[in-house]
Amino acid sequence: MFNDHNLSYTIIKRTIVYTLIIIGIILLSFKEPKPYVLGFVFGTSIGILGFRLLELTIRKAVTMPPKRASAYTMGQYMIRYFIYGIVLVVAALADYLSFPAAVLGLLMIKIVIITYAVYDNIVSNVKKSLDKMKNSK
Amino acid sequence: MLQGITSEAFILGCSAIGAGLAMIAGIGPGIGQGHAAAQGAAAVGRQPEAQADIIRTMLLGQAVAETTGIYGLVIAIILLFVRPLLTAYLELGL
Repeated sequence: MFNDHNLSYTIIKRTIVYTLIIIGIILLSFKEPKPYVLGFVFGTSIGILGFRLLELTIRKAVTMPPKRASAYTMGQYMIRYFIYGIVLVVAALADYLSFPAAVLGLLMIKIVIITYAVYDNIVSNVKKSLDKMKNSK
Repeated sequence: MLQGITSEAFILGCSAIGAGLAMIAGIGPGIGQGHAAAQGAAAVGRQPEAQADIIRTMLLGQAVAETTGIYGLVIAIILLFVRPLLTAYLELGL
């Protein structure tokens, strides 16, 4: 899975595509979609930025000695966690943002990673079974 | 001891304790990510040519591992700011 060189950009691009599709569904299915769309866009944008921050953290951590890398990664995780907390508190308090939509937006990156891992596994299994069938004939 | 406390205050206090307990879920991914980063750094030290593969695996693993921490955070914020237990109590009208 994910054999591309620029892995994070691929995931971010896929997340944006998923987000646009979900925004389209929200616009079509809700009577007052504005809070849902705003909450979802808010959550997704912070989720994408958090993912980019994670990538920068990992790239820096692998060049450090193990003990320093551990402390550095934990510190950066706490910063990201704090940012997620602020986002969720704002989404919970503001009337113009939907809280569940913001949570879903924050989890979009994870959903994209898991879905594509499953999708790629299914595609490779189907290809393998098709090749076996061709070889047996 | 609990005579001077109203039911609403008691529910809010219990919600705050629940939120604090839920926040414990945020510690685990932090420790895990730190451990993974330390092992990743050691692996890059042993095999520098595999750095790209190690970063890729760590990135995907750590991004997914963060989810459990966010779940705990969501539960804590719901208990503190959305207050579903207090709303349910008030709707019961006891």
